Amino acid sequence: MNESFSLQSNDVIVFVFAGAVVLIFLFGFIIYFIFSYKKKQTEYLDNQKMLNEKFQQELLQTQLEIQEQTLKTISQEIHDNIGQVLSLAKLNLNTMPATNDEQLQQKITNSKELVSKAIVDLRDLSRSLDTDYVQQMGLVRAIEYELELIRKSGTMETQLQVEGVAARSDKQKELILFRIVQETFNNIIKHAEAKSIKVNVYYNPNEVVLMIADDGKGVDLNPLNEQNNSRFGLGIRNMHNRAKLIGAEFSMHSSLGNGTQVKIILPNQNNNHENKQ
Amino acid sequence: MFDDFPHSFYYSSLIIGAIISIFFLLKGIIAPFNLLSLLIVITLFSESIAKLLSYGFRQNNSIVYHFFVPIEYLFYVLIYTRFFGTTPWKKALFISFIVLVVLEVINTLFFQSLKRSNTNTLILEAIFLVVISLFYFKGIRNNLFFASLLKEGAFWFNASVLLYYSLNILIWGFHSLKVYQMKRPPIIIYDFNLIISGGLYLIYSLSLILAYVSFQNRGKYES
Repeated sequence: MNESFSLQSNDVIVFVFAGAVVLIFLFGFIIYFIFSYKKKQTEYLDNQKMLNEKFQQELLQTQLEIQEQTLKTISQEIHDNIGQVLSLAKLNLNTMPATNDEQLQQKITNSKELVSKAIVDLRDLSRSLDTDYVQQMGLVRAIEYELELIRKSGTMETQLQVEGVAARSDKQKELILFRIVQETFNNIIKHAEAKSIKVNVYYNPNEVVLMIADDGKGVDLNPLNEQNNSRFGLGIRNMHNRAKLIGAEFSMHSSLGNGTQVKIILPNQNNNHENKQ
Repeated sequence: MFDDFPHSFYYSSLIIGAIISIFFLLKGIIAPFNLLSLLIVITLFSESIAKLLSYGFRQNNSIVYHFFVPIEYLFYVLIYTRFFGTTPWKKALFISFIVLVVLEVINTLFFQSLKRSNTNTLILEAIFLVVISLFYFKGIRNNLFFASLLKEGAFWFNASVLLYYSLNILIWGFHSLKVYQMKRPPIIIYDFNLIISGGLYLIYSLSLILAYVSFQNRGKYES
């Protein structure tokens, strides 16, 4: 074989160099691919999460709208229908001729009082459920009104303290905030065995802080944090979700024997002052 | 049998790969990794025949590769057909196989006879596989096929195909251009080939293990 056919050392160097370049390039490509894939995957997952959150918010918004509509309908029914029937019944009782039978007269008087109480209670309930009425009153007055109803029931003492200049925020936000407060009051009435409820509302320049505290038996919050704990967790999760919907923070602190404290912080209030101390 | 590192490494890797493949074939590994397992076993069988011819019978063993390359490429086509899953890709892959077979026949008849290495076909096979693996990478990225890329056998398989066959283009290209006419070709080129081939079968084994583990986990979640 001719000497010219033998492989020169330069050719070997070229081969090794070319091999090294190809290897480095390919490893570089694979590493780039891995990072690029992870980046795209992260973007995709973030996007999915965002879409899911948006969907959940829209779903919750729809649920709340339906709920408000239902409450409004019930409120109107109570006011226009049941309220009218009871007023008619009261009128009938008032126009009943006087009788000498003392026992019967006493029964009529008792019935009149019961019907009057039912009319007042139903009117209160109707107002409490009525979206427009709550929105017209504003958050503080609506809470005051709810506390007044609780106090009138005679089951517990109530206290409301407002600090700062009350500013009206978005009506829809106020309504949702009020529904959270109502849900908290319902929980206290149903489960807390409390003697008093204390509500503090702090109007700061950039946020409203709402604190509700009771002196009831308290609750162990650990089971509430467990996933799938539908028995305890659903109501609180709903309150969390509602707060999230309006951009508020919801927190709850409680332990057995030490009552329960709920704190809601709603940031970015509009500066539409109500001039209320 | 072999006292040099490249040969020992290559054959050890191939034997390890074949043992793992047989184990997973018996365990019922799912497609297309059962095809990869079969390919590794067939490769060991083919290499054994080639060695028997050259060491046992002192014969030229190039004939083995003239038959093995199309068979090997058919397996890759079947594997990638499963990976891509779409009809246009299936058609394209089978057309590429037919092209390779036709060119192998032409190459054997007119350029590289059965007694010579079929480097032209090897280069063509390598080019096809590099292109396919790049498209598969594109598919993986565009469709985000896997939750965890590095835990997927398909990713490691594809990465090793890209690496190995890109280097194969270089090796066999260099072989065709420079080494082909030499009586005593430089050993470095073959050593390099043996080492990357050994690496290929080790990564194939890894991808089989990952595919099996992934399949088992999926089975657990589904049940």
